[in-house]
Parts: sequence; structure tokens; C-alpha cells
Amino acid sequence: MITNAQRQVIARWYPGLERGDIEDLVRLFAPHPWIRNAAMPPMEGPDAPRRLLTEFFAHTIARRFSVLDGAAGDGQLFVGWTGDLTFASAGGLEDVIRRRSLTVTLRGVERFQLDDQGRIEQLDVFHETTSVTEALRKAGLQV
Amino acid sequence: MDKRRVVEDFLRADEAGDIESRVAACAEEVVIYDAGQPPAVGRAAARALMTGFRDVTSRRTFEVLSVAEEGNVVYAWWQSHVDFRAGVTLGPVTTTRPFDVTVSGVHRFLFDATGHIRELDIAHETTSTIEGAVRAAR
Repeated sequence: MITNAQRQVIARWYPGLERGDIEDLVRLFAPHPWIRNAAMPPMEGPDAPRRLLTEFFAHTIARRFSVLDGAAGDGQLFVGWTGDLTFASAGGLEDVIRRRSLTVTLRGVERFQLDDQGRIEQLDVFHETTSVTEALRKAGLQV
Repeated sequence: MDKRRVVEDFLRADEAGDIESRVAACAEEVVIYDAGQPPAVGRAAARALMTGFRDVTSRRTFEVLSVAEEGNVVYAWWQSHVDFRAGVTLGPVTTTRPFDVTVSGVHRFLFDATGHIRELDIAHETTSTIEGAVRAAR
């Protein structure tokens, strides 16, 4: 059964990602969280959420998420989603103006483990990692 | 219907290379989203997907770390160790030696009213497998 604290995390996490609202998202985390984003090495510590989010928002200029559903058990919360992520070239604003951006649709699952105060102490982001790389390569974009 | 049991049996059958029991657990109109591959729609496509994975691997193990159920949805979090055979083509790469990979991921099962799997997501990173294949192709 999904708890109210878990529902709060879902209600703030995905809209916060869409808005690029780093400050609100960082407030969802425990003081010393552990984070693993797909194939990236795990990050741990007070700065981990800000590092993750800063990098994500630097690479994407728009993000749209649809939550499929979720389930909780064994102290874990799982949320399935589809996302349309628009990547910008590392060339920055000039490339964006020239429409050198690309939107990729992904499916994935997030695993949240919350502490006793409802803060995220572990976050795993599961999604495949080859189609984004391949789509960006075909579009001539480097991120 | 014990959905957790179905999920655990499904993963054990994957380890055993048992295709038909997994196909039987699926609805006729099942859709499988397997880590970036085109969706497999229907039992025949599910069978082809499962057979393809079994044939390029010599061993598959799933350590189930957690299972969560909510209504008609079950998520299973796992760590998997897979041994790939030599001569496997993954994207632009064809391996010349066996290689193995350990990845963590989640299966998301959506069940229909009859207890069959209507939708299955297999979510995990795919970079490690591609990198392993590239090393095994040199």
C-alpha cells in the first residue's frame, strides 16, 4: 500500500522534473542520500541530488513525464513512467535556436526508498541507455 | 491469484530457459517493452523475444531484491547475472568470445482481470551489456 509520504514524493518529483525546479526537488532528499541513475556510477552524499539534477537539466531543455502506476512494498516505492526528453546540443543556446535539439521517448521505473521522515534516502532510476545515445548520434548532437 | 507467485515463477522460468510457461502466463494481447527494443505485441512476439534472449545466453540468474504489489500491478526489483555466448550480435557488434554482465533492474507486470500478464516492462540500463560485447569482439 502506497503511504501518504510516498504519494507526496510522486506528486512533487515528476512535476519538479518537468519544471526544472532544483530547489524543490533537493528538499525531497534525506541529508545523505544514495542515487544511481541508469548506467552512471552511484552518487552518495549531501551534494548528490543537486549534482544529478544540475546535470540532467543542463542536458535537457524540456521534459514531460506520464506516470503509469506505482506500487510499494518491502520498504520500497516503485513508479513506472514514460518520458519525452528534449535534449539540447552541448553547443548551447545557438544550437537550440537552430533547432538542433532532439526529443526522445523513454520508458522507465524509479525506485524510491524513504526514511522515517518521508525523505528520499535511496533513488534508483532504471531505463535503457542505448536508444538515447544512438538517437543523439544520428542527429549529430553531443551531450 | 497470487501475483507475487506468478512473478517469482516467471523469473525462475527465465533462469531455466523455459519459454512456454512464460508465454502461458501472458495474455493473448500482451505487450512487452524490453529495455529499448521495439514493443513485442502478442504471444507470438513474446515467444520470439524470449527465445532470442535465451539463445544468445548460456546462463541467466535473477536475485529478487524486492517485490511490491498494488492492485493489478507488481514490480520486482532484481540483480541479474547473465552469461552471453560467443558470436552474439548486439547492435553493430558481433562478439568473438563469451562475456558476462551484472545489471540491476525492475520488471513491471500489469495483470488483466483473468490474472494474465497484459503488459510487461523490463527496465534496466543497457550500456554495460554493449560495453561487454564490444570488449568481447576485440
